[in-house]
Formats: sequence, C-alpha cells, structure tokens
Amino acid sequence: MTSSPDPSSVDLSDLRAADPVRMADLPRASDPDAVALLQRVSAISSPTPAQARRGLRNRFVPLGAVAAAFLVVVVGFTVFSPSNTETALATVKTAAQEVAAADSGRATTGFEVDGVSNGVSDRAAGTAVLTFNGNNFAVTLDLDDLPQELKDQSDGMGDLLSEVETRFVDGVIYGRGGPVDDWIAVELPSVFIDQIRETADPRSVLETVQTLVETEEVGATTIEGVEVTHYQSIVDLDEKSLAESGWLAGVDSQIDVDTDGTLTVDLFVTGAGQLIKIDVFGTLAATEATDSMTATFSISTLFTDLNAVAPITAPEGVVPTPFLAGELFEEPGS
Amino acid sequence: MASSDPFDALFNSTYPQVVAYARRRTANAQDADDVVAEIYATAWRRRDQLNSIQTPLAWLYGIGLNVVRNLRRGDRRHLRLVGAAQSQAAAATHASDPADAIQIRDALATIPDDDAELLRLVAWEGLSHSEAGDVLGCSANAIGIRLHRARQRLDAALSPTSNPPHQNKASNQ
Repeated sequence: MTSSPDPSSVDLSDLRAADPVRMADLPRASDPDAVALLQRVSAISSPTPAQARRGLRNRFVPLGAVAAAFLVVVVGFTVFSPSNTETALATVKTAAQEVAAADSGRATTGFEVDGVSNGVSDRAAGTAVLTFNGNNFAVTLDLDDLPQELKDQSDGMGDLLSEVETRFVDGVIYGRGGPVDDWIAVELPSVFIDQIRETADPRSVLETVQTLVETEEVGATTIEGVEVTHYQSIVDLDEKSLAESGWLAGVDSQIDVDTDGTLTVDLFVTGAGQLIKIDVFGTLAATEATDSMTATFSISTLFTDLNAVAPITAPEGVVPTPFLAGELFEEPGS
Repeated sequence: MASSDPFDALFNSTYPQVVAYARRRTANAQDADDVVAEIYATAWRRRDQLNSIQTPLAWLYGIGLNVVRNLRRGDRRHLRLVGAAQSQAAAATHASDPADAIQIRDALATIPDDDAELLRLVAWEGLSHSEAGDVLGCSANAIGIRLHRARQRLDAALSPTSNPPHQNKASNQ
C-alpha cells in the first residue's frame, strides 16, 4: 500500500517517522497468543436469522427516517446560507438565491440509501418530484425499493408508498397513492400549514441550513447539455452532529443513529449564475456498543422549469374534511 | 501457517498490521489486545462478506474504526484510547524516540479525532487515498480535501512549539 502525494505544509515523512509502532517488534500470526485468539474468535456462534432480522428492524426504520429527511434537506438546499465569504461559497450562495427567488419551479430528486447491519445489506431508493408555484406545492413520490423489513412490517405499505401524489394547495393537503385512486383531502390548522411550508418550501430554509464552511471549485462540466461550473463542499459530521450543524435537528434528536461520517456536496452552477443541480453523497454510522451499522446514501436533485410552472390547483370534486386534532397528529405543544 | 479457510487466511495475512493499528490507537498493550480481538470477532460475524472484500486490511481498519469509537464512547476505561492525548502520547513513546517524533505525536493527539485518524491511516497504516476512503466511507477526492485540512490543523498544532521538523521542510518548498 502506498500513499498518494499531497501538497501541504506538514510532511508525511515526518508523520511516518513519528509512528510509535515498530513492525519488527510485533507478534506474528503463528505466535501462541495469536493462535489462541483465532481459536476463540472462530468459536463465536453466528447470529441466528431471527436475531439478524430483529437487528434490521431496529435499524432500518431510523435509516428510512434519515433518507426521508434528507429528501427534505436536499430540496431545502436550494437556499442555504454559507457561513464564510470565500469566492466559491459566495458564487454558490448567489446561484442558490437565484433559485430561491423563483416564483415557481421543479426539483427532481433521486435517492438511494444502502445500509449494512450485522452483515446483512438492504436498501431504499426512489424519486421525488416537487413542483412549487407561489405557496402551493405538488409532490410525487415514487419508491423503487424499500427495505425488506419495512415491507414485512407494513403489510402492503410498500405498495402504498410505491407511488404517492400529494398536493398542498391553499392550506389543504390532497393525497392519493398506491391502491387508492381517489383523492382524499384534509384541511389543516394554520400551525401545521406553517410547519409544512417551512419544511417543504425550497425557498424558505435559508435560516436553517448553515453547514457549508468550505467550498471549492472543481472545474467545468456539462449537465443536460448545459455548461456548468462544478463546486464541491465537504460537511464533516464527525465534528458536528446534524443538529449542531443546523441540519435536521428534529431527526437527530429522535432517532438513535449517530451522525459520524461525511457529506460530500457537489453543486453545479450555470454560466447565468443559476444553481441547477446538487448531488449529496454521505455516510452515517451507528454508535451501538456491540454492532456497527453503516449507511451510505446518494441524493441527486435537478432544478428545472424555474418561473415556468403552471399554477398548482386542487383536484376537482374533492371535499376537504376538517383536521381533527389527535386523530392523525398531536397538536404541537400538547 | 497455510489454511484453506478464508477467515484463517485473512487472520494470518493481516494479524501484525491489525495489532499495529490497535497499538497506535491505544494507551497500552492490553487495550490494544482488546481492540484486536474485537476487530476479528466482528470480522468473523461478517465473514460471509469476505469473498467480496477487495482490500481486506482497509475492511478490517473500517471495523477497527467503529471498535475504537464504540469503546471510547461506551466505557470510561477506554478514555485511555486515542483522544486522551497525554496518556496516549506518553504510552506510545519509545525511549529512543527523537524529540520531533514525540512532538508530532503530542500534536496529533490535540487535533480533532477524525483528522488524526486520517493522518494515521495514510502515514502509519500506509493507505492510499482510495483505501482511506474505503475505511472512512468517502471518496478519494474527499480524502484529499480532508487530508489537506488535517495537515493544516496538525501544522497549526505544531506551530506554537519550537522548531518542529516540518517547519524547515516547509520553508524549502
């Protein structure tokens, strides 16, 4: 194994010279202690399939929550507020605000989450298309892949979630999906309207996303035939939790998944100074004492049709029913 | 010791390197032995992945990363692990170590854990950017960026001290 050269002020050869371990002093695999260790390890019984499934059940639910939450984050990423003033950051910020200033537009997000727990792999994948016009939104969620454990638990929930269409129009949520062809509608109290608007509106999260502290220009490339400049930012979740970094505070406090890892954020800005694509790749790691769980996620969002989306309207023939507190949600603060 | 068992082969081909990995991150040989045992126990539970593992050492180091983190988080006793700067640096010091080496290890123990871990993987474990990326779960490109930043932080940690070894070399560049 060799290390790649990397220009920096600290020489790696100095670091190598500071290695506290001398390989010549180390035990060999044939030493009695090593042989005994191998025998002890090989005597460990493997987890039963039932144990492995229980582990998955406990882990992929929060993973699914993380995946769903990151969808929101990526949509919200259109208007982040970088916290330093480097040129690249300033360019990206301005480009994002171009999108934020749009009256209407479309964000198409594809996502994949792969997790490994107790040696068992599973994944979730899908596409979300969010269209906005003024204060109204339409979201179509198409899940290609759900973790098997979730499918098993939800008795058809996988089918239900496979293609869900939602509209948020003038304070009413309309939805249909899976085996349900007819629209249903719920009229929400204003407190929920505000919460949903803050979460879903790609133009309203300027205050909540403050993580980008380093961004650098990578080079030129082409997206959908458009020449763009590629920028990249690394968000180090080892140093800050999601909540500390300003991301997903609610999710971070509710799920038992640590946020060690790294987010690599690739941003693409057109020559006209408009942010048209964001790719986020990252890893999360669990902190449980006995087993480790890792998840890798990849999310790509493409912004199109800025200021060119027709008004979003309520489906015809659907009568909204009043929201009944406690039936679907608890009122905030109750 | 030849063996047809894939796990035995993995153990026999990696044991010294894994011991070195553990000793570099612990305060004494006993703690290192615990880490080595846990790494191989975890690898054993995941042995069905062995056929698809491209770089076994990087895979084991990735397990080791979680083992060390879990021990640090889960047990007061393991405050002696990396992160407890003075104890680690002191325990890792050989009588014949030059002052520069001690100084660098002291500085390494004061920078953020993840920066220090990346520097150890590249400088001490000898991993390439790609292999370090496999361990830490990010791209080689991201490793390059993080490595540059880690070295800057190490440089800053060394700068208040007198005549650290890097300063002379930096001035020649």
